[in-house]
Amino acid sequence: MMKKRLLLYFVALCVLATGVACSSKPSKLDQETNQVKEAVSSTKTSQTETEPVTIGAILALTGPYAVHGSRHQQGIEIAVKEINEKGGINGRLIKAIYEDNRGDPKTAIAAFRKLVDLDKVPVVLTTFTGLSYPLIPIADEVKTILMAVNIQSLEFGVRSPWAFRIGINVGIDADTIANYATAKLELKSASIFHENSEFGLDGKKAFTESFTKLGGKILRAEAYDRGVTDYSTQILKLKNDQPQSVYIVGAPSPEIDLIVKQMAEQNFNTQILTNSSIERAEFLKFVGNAANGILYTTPEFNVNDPRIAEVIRKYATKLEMMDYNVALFYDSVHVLAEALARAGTVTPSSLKEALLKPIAYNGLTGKTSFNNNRDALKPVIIKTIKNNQFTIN
Amino acid sequence: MLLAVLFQGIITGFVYALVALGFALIYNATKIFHIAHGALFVLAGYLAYSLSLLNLNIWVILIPTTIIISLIGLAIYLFVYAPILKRNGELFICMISSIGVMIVIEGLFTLIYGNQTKSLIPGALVTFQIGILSVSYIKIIIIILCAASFGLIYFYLNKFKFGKAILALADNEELAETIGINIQSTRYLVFMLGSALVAVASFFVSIDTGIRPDSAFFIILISATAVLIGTHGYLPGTIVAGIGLGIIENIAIYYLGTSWKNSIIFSVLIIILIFMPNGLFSKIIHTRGE
Repeated sequence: MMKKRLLLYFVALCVLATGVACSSKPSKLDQETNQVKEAVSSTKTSQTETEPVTIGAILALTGPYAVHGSRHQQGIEIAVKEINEKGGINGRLIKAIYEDNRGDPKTAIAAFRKLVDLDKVPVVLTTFTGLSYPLIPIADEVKTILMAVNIQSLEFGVRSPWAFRIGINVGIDADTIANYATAKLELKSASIFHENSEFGLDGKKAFTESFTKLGGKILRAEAYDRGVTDYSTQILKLKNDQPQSVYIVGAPSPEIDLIVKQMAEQNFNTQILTNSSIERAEFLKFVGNAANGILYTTPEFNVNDPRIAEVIRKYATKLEMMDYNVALFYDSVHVLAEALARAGTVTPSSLKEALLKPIAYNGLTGKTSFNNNRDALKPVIIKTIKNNQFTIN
Repeated sequence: MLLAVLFQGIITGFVYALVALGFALIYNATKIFHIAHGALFVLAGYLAYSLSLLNLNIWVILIPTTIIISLIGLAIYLFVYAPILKRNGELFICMISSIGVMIVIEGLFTLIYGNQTKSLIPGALVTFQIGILSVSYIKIIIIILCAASFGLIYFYLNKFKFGKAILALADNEELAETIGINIQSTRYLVFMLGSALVAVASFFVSIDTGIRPDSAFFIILISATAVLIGTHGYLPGTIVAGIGLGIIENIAIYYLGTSWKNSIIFSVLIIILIFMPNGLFSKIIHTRGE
C-alpha cells in the first residue's frame, strides 16, 4: 500500500514537472489577439502629416530582464529628446511608443501586433534573441520593419526582408578571436564549449569556420546546458584532448562563471577564448584569479570617449547607466530619424528603402551601414583580464 | 579517463545519497511526500551564502545553517502538514501543499538573489592531482563527511531510543503508538533530522559548485528516485541508490552530454522497476520479514 502510494506521488511529480516544462497558454494569446482585432476594427488611427512620427519599441520593462529594459528605454528617450530639440523629422516631432514584453515571447508577439495594427508604426525596435525571433514572421506578414538591437545570432536579417539588425553578432566575435588566436598567439588547436542554444550553436559554427580556415584544428565541440552547476565531467573530456585553447561561447549567465571556475579547479592548462559574456563584475567576483589571462571580444565602446562621456554628463539625471546596448538604442533612433527624414513619407516600405542607402549619422557606436542582409555590424576589439581587471589587450 | 569520471560520479552520488536519506527518513516515518525538501536544499545554500557575507569561517557557518534549516523543516510540518492531518486530510493534500511551499520558497530566492549562482568560496578551489583528475580538498571532505553522516545516522537510528522510535514509526505507526512511542514528537524529530541532512548536503554543494534557485525540483526527483530504486523502507538501499545515480549521471554526461542526464536517470528507474518492482534490495526486506 505504501509502495503504491509512493509510486502515485512519484507519477504526480513527473506529471507536474512535464506540465511546468511544457506550459503554454494558447487561450490567453488567442484572447489577446482577439482583443487587438476588436480594438483595430473599432478604432482606426494613421500617421498624418501633423501628428508626431511614431516609432515602436518592445522592451522588457517588467519581468526577468526588466533592469535592461528600463535602461534601453532611457537610451531611446534621450535620442528622441535630442531629435525633437533639433526640430524633429521634417518639422514633425518624433515619439516612441513602448510596449512591455515582460520577458515573454508570446507577450512580445501581442505587443508587436498592437503597435502595428493599432499604432500604425513603420518600425519596431526590439532586443534579446528569444524575444525577437518570434516577431520576424509577423514583420514579414504585416510588412513592417523589425529593427533588432544587438541580436548576436548569425542570421537575423536574412530571415525576412523586413528584419534589420544593428550591433555585433557571434560571427564577428568568433572571426576576430580566431584571427587573433592563430595570427598573434599561433595557436593550432582548439576545442569549443558552447551553450546548448541557437546562440551557442551559431558561435560553434562561426568559430569552427574561422579557425579551420586559418589553419587551426577543432579537436572537440561540447555543448553545455543551462541550469547545471557541475560541468566537471565535460571539462574532463575537453581536458583529455589537450587543446591549446578552448572557445567558450554562450550568453552572459552563471553557467559561464561556473565553467571557468571549474576549468581552473581541474588545472586545465589552456588559453580560454570567449566573448563579452564574461564582462561582468559578478564574473570576476565568482571566478577570482582564475579569470586572469582570458582573452575575449567585446564591442568597440569606451565610456571614457569624449563624445560618449558628454552624452553621459548631459543626461546624467535621465540615464541610469550607459552601456553598449543603451548606446545602440540611442544610435538606432538617430539612424531611424535620418532615414525617415530622407524617406519623406512615413511608411515601412519608404523607410526600408532609406535605411539601405548610406547613412551619414556617426553615433556613439560609430557609423551604421546596413548590408544586403540588413545587418549593420559593428566592430569588436580584443580585451583580456589582468590582475582581475578587464583591460584592452 | 573513465576512472576520473567514476570518481566524479561517486562525489556527486554521495551528495545525492545524503539528500535522499533525509527525504527517505521523512517519508518512511510520516508517509508525507515532502516536496519542499528540495526547497530546503536551496534555502540552506542561500542561507549559508548570506552568513558567509559576515566573514565568518566557512565551517562555522555549517552549524547555524543546519540548525536553522532543521527548525524550518519542523515549522513546515507544524504549520503546513500537521493542520491538514489534524483535520483528517489526505496525505495527497500534504503533497500538494508541499508543492506550494516549494514554489513560494523558490520564488523568494529568485526575488532576493536573482538567478545568479552563489558560491561560499569565491574563486577556484585549491586542488591536487590524481592522474588526469584534479581533486579539490572540498571533494575529499564531502566524501568523508557524507560517509560519516551515513554512519552517524545508522548508529543513531539503531542504538538510541529516539532513533529506534523513528524506525518503529516507519515500520508500523499503530504498533509504535501501542508500545508507548510519542508519535508527534517522533515526527518532529524526523523532520528536523531529515532537514538537517539536506542542509549539510546543500552546504557542501554551495562550496563545491555553487547553489542556484531552480535546483529544488531536480533534488526532489533524485531523492524520490533513490528511494524507489533503493527499495522503499530500506535506508541503506537509498544510500546505495543515491551513489549509483551519481555515477550513472556522470557516465551519461560523459558519453551523451548534460541534456540526457534526466532521461538516463528515469530510464534507469523504469528498467529497474520493470524487473524489480520493489527496488534493488527487496529481497533483503523480505528476508527480514518486513
